[in-house]
Amino acid sequence: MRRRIAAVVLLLAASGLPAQAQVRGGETYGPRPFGVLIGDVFTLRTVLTADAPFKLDPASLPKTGALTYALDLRRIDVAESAGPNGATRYDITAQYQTFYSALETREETVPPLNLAFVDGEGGRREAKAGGWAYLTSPLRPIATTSGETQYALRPDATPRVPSLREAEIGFASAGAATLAALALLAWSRAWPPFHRRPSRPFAAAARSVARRAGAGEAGWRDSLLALHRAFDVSAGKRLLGDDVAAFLGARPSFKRHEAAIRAFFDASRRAFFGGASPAASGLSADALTKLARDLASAERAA
Amino acid sequence: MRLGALRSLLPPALALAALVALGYAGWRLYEQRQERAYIQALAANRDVQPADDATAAALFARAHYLLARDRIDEAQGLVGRITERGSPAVVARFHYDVGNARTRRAIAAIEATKIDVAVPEVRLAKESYREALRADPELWDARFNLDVVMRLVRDFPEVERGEEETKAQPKKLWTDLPGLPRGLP
Repeated sequence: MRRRIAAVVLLLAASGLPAQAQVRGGETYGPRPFGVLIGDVFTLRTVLTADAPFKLDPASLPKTGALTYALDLRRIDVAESAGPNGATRYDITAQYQTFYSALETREETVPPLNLAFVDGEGGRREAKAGGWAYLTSPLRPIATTSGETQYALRPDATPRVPSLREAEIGFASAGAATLAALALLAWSRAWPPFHRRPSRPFAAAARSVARRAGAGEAGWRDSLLALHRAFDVSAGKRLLGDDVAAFLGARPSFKRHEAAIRAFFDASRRAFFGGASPAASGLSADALTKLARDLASAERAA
Repeated sequence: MRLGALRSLLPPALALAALVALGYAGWRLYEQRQERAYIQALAANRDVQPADDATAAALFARAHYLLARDRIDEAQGLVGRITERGSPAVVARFHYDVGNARTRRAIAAIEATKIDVAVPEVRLAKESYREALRADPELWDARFNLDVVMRLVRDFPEVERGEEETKAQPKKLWTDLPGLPRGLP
């Protein structure tokens, strides 16, 4: 809650300027003007209106820092807004801190701001505003009463030993999240311990093909069989070359590999019913491995 | 099809993100452990130097260690790094401790009746307490101790306040400095 404080505004009209152009207002609003102790921070708000063409000269604002012996200006902000008839309204917020060590309750003052307004053509007006008076109170009695020495100081600020609890909880949560994410990844790819997952037949087949395809003709035939079993499990019945179109129709994610799947069934027919060797069948061990891997990937995206 | 691609890409992306988060959390935990160990070492009276990238809390612990041993100049050397890295509360506590160390020196000098040594120390202590209150006005211990040192050696602000006021208030020259009897009669 702010109380309105009467402020004395001195307007010093510069010579040679139109009589009607002037700087008006200058009310200062502050907090309660009593019970102010050493170290207290308070904010004063001053409102001024400058008629056109006058503008506040920013250079006339005081600099932050020590203002008087026991008073600091911590910050000063000016908010500008348009008033009636082209006038400019200035809302000056100044934050002060007092370091006055009072021995008794007494009145202290904040010196007014010496503001200058310029019209850009050499015209200049000055205004004093923003002064304030308040009552400061002492923090300690003059005579020590408790039998302590007169130099009894408050003790040092001691460093706190920081708690690790927050970082430990963060680390544990991240660890749990990582385990969960890795489990999800293993489940999605049918890695151990999810390698027997029934809905990932091609993942299991791809592993067995990668192991066996290069191991001579027997390995190659085993790989063909492993892939056939995967097709069977995936289709839910024994899948033959003629059923491929219906199989692909039900599984759009396998559609991209249609040519390779048909080549696989052709090669398989030639190998098992025509007795063709790997070379003669037209499906090399590498092509077979790649097909198995592609199918496992398509299965994950299904 | 797009949903399918998402379903196959999501698990590895999640796993990667979780691993990155784990690495970050582990690094933070490690750093905080180092800081804690450093502060505990100082508290155990071991004279350990701070790391170059020490946090403000660690530097404040170092400053506190030095100030408790009257090594004020060494502690003052940390002011830049503490101001740069610390929150206002830590900066305020640092300046407050510097002020206390200066005041302890001043009081020792007063008790040895070396007033010419005490006066500059009191002046520096005042500046430190003010600096502490500028950073954190809520540090009430700094207000109290500032009040103590302000009375220890009274300034003469009347130069700024104008003549007539000085005449009207002669008791402002009153000071706490020697002369007051101490102890029980």
